[in-house]
Amino acid sequence: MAKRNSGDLHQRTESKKLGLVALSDAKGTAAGPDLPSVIIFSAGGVMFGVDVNATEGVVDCPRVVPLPHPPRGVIGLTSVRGRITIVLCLARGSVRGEKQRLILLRGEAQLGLLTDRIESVVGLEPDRVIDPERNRPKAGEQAKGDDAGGWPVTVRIKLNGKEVPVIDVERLSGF
Amino acid sequence: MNDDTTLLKEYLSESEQLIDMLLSDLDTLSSQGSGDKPAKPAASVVNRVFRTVHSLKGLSGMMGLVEVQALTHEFEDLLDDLRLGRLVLDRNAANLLQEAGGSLAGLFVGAAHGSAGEDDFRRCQELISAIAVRPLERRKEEDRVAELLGLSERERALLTEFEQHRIKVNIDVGRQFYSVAARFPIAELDSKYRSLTAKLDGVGELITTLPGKESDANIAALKFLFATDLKEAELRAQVESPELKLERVGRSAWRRAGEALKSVGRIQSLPGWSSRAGEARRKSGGPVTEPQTSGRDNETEGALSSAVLPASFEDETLRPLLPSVRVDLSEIDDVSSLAHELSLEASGLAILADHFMTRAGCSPRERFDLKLTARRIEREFLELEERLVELRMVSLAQTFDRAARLARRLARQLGKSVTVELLGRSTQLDKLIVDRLADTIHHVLRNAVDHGIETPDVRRIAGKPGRGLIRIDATLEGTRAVIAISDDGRGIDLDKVRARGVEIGAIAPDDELPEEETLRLIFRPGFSTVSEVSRVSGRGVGLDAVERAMVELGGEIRVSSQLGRGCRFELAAPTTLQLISAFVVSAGGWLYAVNVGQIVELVRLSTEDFDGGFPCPQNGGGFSRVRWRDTTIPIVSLDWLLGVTPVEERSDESGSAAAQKRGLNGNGTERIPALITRVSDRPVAVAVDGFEGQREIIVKSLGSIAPRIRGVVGAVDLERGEVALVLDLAGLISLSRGVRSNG
Repeated sequence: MAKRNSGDLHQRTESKKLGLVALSDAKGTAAGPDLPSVIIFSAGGVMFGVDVNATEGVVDCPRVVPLPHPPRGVIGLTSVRGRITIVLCLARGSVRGEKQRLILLRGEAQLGLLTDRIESVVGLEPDRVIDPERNRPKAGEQAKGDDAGGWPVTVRIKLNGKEVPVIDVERLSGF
Repeated sequence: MNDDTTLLKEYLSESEQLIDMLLSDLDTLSSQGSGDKPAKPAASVVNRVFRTVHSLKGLSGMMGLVEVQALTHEFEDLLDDLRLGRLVLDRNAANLLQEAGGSLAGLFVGAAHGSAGEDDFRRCQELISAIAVRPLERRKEEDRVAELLGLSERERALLTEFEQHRIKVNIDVGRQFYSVAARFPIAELDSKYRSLTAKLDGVGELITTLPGKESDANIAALKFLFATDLKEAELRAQVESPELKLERVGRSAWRRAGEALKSVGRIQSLPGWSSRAGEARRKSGGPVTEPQTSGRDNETEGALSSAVLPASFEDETLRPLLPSVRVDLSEIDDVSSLAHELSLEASGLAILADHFMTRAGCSPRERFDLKLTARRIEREFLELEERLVELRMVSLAQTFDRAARLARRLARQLGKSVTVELLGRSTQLDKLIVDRLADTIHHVLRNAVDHGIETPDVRRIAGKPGRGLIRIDATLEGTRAVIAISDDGRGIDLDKVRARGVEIGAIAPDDELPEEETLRLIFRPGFSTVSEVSRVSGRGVGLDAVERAMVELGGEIRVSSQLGRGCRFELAAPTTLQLISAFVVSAGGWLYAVNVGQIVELVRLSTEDFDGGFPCPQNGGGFSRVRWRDTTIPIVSLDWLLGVTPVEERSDESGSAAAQKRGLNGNGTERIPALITRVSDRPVAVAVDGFEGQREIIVKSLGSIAPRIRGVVGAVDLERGEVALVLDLAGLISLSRGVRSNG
């Protein structure tokens, strides 16, 4: 797992989100060996990314119990390692993998992201990061580019010719 | 968590306990002094109050709450006068003492959070002054303020009134103070002085310039005192230079802590601190001991101002005031979850081991021993879970005592008089529930005093004693606690309630409601029959919020009344949100758990008992009515309440399969399993697919999403990896409008 660059690229901060934003701001600076890593996954045919450090692991998704009148994106809950986990589906359509996986997110919100499949884990090199101005929509506006479905995003990166939004886990926890 | 937050939490926790003790003892003193003649207060009570106030003074000093500390000191002087007989405990003094204590208690929390205003301090000081029998030796404001900054007497004398005022203003807004010691060549004094003052003005407010040390014919030594919001590192980067020496002034946290610790006797041996008080503290070994000297402990005061912290601070005994460990509830929950997981794993391991032992040809005796061991492990883990849940339990004593004080104070404000009886103080509930019940009890009590209890004159005319009676009683009913708040006041006028119900459109003019249902109109939003909004209550926005709070807690509120004789409110709440006795049901292919406290009866209803057919998706769902006992009640299917698509529909199973699940009784007629529950005291039936039995479960939180999922209080891991939602049936039903329209 690539380590964070503690040099000129960005300063260490408590907020991983700031770290990612600072990285995008420093685009063009020579990247060191220590880079944040992002898990790339697909849900409903759409690709998303999530900071590795914001996750606790990836598990096979157990049976999901539906919740009554749940908020947007919540399809139910399940129990993983004895902890009740709220299952979020970022995709607009349903997730139809043969074997659904669940990305467990850190934090007290007890969230898990339902996925069709885990695509890869990539280092967040400066060249991958798309213009940071596009990453910061004005208040009330949705981010441009590939549709993030209205989910909060820290940065967007280029991967195999596509734009992939990296989900802002901290803001997601407060959805 | 940073040091400041930790310190604040510890301060609030310890001061809360001390404040409760203080207010309880002041209540006792007030009762002693409430007679027609002045009373001699019980020495033990006065001494205990004195010690408590002394400890609070130390705590406030530790937090740098200078104003609070000063007021506490004055209150301590009053108590000293009381002990020595200089202050007579008559009714007026008793009431004022209680008021002043309450005001001071409020300042302790308010000041720590920065929410205490000038009015609050002034009020407290007025109350204290009103009781004082001799002029309180208050230090001059300016001396106290300047002392804070460690200024010498000579420097203090040089301060102008305006500079003293600016110091105080900057203290009030929480700025830090620094001094800059500068030595300028006389030839460059003018330019360097202007340059430095401009720099200091840029980082804060320059208060004054004082003569420094070691001036001579060629060098002018100056000391600049200024206040700033900047952090020290940033300040040094901007100001410090080889010819300037920057130093923070004012009491450091360690110095404050040290003095506070000394003042409450935690530090038992210090150089230069030798007094009878010190000896007593050392011998007793307790955190706070009765002062041996009369009046102010002058020797201790002297020691406080001049004592130096010992070099090895760690060698001192720093016993906390309370022999307890503070643990967040979430940490207990985490350990409890772990214990539950371990019990499930132990169970799974036993099954695996048995399987392998069978294959390996182990003897029946060996297999039996294995099973026995596995079951013992499982039991012990379950016991561990239960013990952890019990850690969350607290008694209602503190809540009840506060409620009683509140009621008496409110009554005094309204010119009334009440006796408050407390029963069941030792009843234990989950801390979370006690915290959430506190506001509800407060509200109901306020109503009882304001609207229920009459003035003494009115009571006497009605043939009642002039003093009203309020009783607060807690009892356990299975897995629920019932807290009853009753009064012997005027009761609820049903005619007025009815009229108001018509006025707000809750009922039609010709509706004939039974007495019980008429009474329940008081829980409708905006329902208040009081024509004026009183200062205490009567805004008509209360009881509906009270009912909603109880429902959200998984409980309910009941009311009964007799006109002219009184009123009784019952708050029924689960004892714990964690370990509950639940009944598990199946509906739509999913399992659900319901607190048995919410279940009146389990029934199997005949389809012949239904008016309009069994409610199911095929006939539009929603509520129907069914015969139960000698009446008809609403019935709704759990699937419909939850809005969850049943598994059988998703897999295209036939309706006959669903009917099979519900249980044919052999005659071809369906018997529908249903739970009878109560919503606002009215029975409602909830139809399910099947009964899965009763069990003790640990309810797990849904995390941050919990407030957004109505009708679900948590989830539980059942055996075989199944997860069931724990439902709040009354909450689910209340959410659906069908109950009101069909009720």
